[in-house]
Amino acid sequence: MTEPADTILEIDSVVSGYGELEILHGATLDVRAGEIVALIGSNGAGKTSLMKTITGLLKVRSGDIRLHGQSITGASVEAIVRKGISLVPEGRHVFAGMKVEDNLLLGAYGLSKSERDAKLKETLERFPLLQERAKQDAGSLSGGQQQLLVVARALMRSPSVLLLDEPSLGLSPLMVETVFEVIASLRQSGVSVLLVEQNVVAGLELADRAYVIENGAIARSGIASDLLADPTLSNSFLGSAAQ
Amino acid sequence: MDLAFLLQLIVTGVTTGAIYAAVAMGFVLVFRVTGILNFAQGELLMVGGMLIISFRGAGWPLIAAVPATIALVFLLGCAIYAFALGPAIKRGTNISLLLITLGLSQIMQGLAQIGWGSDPRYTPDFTPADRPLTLFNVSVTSQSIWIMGGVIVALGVTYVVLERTGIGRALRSSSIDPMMARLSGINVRLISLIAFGAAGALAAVGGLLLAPVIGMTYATGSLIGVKGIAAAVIGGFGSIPGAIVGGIALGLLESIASLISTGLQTGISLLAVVLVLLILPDGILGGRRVKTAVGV
Amino acid sequence: MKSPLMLKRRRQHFIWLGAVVAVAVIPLIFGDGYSQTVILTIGLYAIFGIGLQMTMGTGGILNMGHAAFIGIGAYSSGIVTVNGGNAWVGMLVGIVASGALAFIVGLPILRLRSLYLAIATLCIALAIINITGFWTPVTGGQNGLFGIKPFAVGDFVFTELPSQIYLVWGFLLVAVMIRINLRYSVVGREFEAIKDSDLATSALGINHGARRLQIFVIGSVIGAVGGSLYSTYLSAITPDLFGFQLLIQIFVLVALGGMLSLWGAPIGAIAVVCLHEFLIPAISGGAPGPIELVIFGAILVVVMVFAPNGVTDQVVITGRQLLRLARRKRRPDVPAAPETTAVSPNAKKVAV
Repeated sequence: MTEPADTILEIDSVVSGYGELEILHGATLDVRAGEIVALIGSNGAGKTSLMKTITGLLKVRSGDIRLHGQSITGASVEAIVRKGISLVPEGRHVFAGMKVEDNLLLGAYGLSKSERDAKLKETLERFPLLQERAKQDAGSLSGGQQQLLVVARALMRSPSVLLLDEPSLGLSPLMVETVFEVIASLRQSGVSVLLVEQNVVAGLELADRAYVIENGAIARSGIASDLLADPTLSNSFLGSAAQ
Repeated sequence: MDLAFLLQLIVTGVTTGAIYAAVAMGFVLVFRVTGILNFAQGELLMVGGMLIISFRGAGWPLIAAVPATIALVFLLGCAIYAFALGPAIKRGTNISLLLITLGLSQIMQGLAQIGWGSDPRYTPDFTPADRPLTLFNVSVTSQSIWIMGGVIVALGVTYVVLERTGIGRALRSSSIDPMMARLSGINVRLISLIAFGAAGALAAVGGLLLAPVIGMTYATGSLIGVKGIAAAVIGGFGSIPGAIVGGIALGLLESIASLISTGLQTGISLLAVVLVLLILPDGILGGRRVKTAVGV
Repeated sequence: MKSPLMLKRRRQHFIWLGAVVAVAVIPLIFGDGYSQTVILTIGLYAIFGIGLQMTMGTGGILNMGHAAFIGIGAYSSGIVTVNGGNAWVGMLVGIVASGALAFIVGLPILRLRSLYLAIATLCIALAIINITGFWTPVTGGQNGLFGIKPFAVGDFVFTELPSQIYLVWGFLLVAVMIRINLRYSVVGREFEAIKDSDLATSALGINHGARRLQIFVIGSVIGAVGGSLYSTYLSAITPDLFGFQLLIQIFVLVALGGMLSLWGAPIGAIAVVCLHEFLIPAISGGAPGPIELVIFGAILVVVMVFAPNGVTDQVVITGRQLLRLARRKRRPDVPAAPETTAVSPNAKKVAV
């Protein structure tokens, strides 16, 4: 493990939930520069809630979230996104009815026009699939292409941390591979990734480190390959989840 | 029925329809972005009309009076959102939000009556002419050319803003997927405020163009507001072409209804709108709405 | 758990019925014509209000045409009696006409969203007012309809104010009974369920569309009955009596009385009639006009911003919250939030 000095995102005993229902009961984890961190846990353990809390969609009731050492607790969603955290939520949230190109430009909303255009050019070069369809309605893309578009859009802002919630859900095996390749390539571009993946084995193989979340708190953490090899984990949890 | 007479009907219908189209576009913008049906939209038109009458009455030239009117009603639209609907939207229901806009329309009518009186107010045509232009035995007044041109410019500007600018993309994305819009760094509340302002500006354009044609009173807006909603409904509540088609269809419908009875023009055309609602709930442009808008 | 709550509710209704009886005695105490007129008007507005409150609160439908439905009742009675018919027949015609219209207009509830229904009812209402104003041979046009005859039972004619008050408040009583029955019948419970969640009830197999249509029709018919009583009391009506001003007044009534409270409509009626008769003339120095528009508009805005379900409902909700808070203070061992542990059976399995 590297030193804590290059920690990008720290989540410190965070409590949050919906209405009267408390879901996260004090989750603590961190994401460091250029690493891919997997977050695993069963349905309802609080993975998606954690993602939503980090981006401000759910309010932090107690605890603190820091980005580059600065607290972002209580900031608005827009502000958090602009500070460098991008979330790709579960499901394919393209803006259907708008062009692929316009979808991408929205990822850079708030940046100057020159930055926006430069970033668009760069992204389209990186994703030739999207380049071919730049002028098409995003809603007309296939499921996998849409997911790729959403990831590409999230990268338009050059975020420090990319949060991915179930990026492979419902994709064809071929498309899953493409999406995972994109995620793996983020290591080189210096984007840290926090990944929720229902396919635990695939997620752990991709990740550097992993956290296991149970009942709204972190139950275990460690090097991804260690967790993958750990028999206690695979017996109690991986066996069923990995199908 | 001879051709000139038919053309005359069409000119009248399209002129009225242009006004409805501007109001309808305002409804559509606000509805698509915020999910609110703003019943005060007609009153924004009335305020626009009243303001231009006052400005011109004070001797301002059009070049100053028009932008001032549009800017003020834009701000009024923003204020409606900032002070009433914005604070209410989180806890509000469809019904409560609609009642708020109804309440706002009443306040505006009351204040207009207090400020500008109950009698109709008039202002001359923008370019007064001795006699209307005559083409193929059809007479077209100079003001109706102003109306059609003005609305085309206003909707053209709206189109360009929506399709080509960052704010336009933000507006459209907020109407499609508000959560994802926020996750793209868009301040959806600010965008909603802008939508209300823009709807106000569109209504102001309608009001200032209409002012020379009718005697403007505090109550003028309420019926035109309903017609604007009706036009939006006919157009499918979704797009600029829809608003234009809906507005002109309603204008033509009224033109035709006036043949049966001038007094019953409103009743007949509104009943026709209800029929459209019953038979074609997606408007006469059909499935367009379903394809482009999620959650509308 | 439900039955004691219901008993409590039932007891409240008896209290409410007692109040109605008390009001029915009031005309005997207040002898002067003006007070009696006010009491009668309150009764009429309460009937108008119950119809709309039911449609909005329980059915979740924004009926922008309620004033026009009242107008249908008023004109039915008017037209029938002016042409020599009986006032009861007139009321029956009004009931059938408004019920049939509500049914036809409401049919799309089965597939349309509620906002579309708001637009449809508004268009219908304006069309009705417009047509009434120009269909002179039948409706008397803009000049109005005169010589509407009062209700009669045998030889007894409801012409004097006290007897009219009893007639109106008698009908109000019936309307309240219908409201209470609807609320506590199986159908009423289903209505409440519909309001709570569209999804949950569709999973239960309850057909919302049909239920909501039913309540929309009943609410409109109650409005028409009110209109019938209104026109026989006034004996002369014009189309603009049933326009926007009346609609807004009833909306204010529902906003103040609350969308769900069973006693909300009468409370709202008292508030609106008092505002209209006493407060607003006092502020404006006579002519209500624009001041009333501003005040009623402002009430709608303020109430709906801060209490989207109306004032009395908000009072009830806030009261319950305070009560719960007080209970919690007394027993500090009770957790502040409800159970928050396992969210799904799966999660439990992992925890073990």
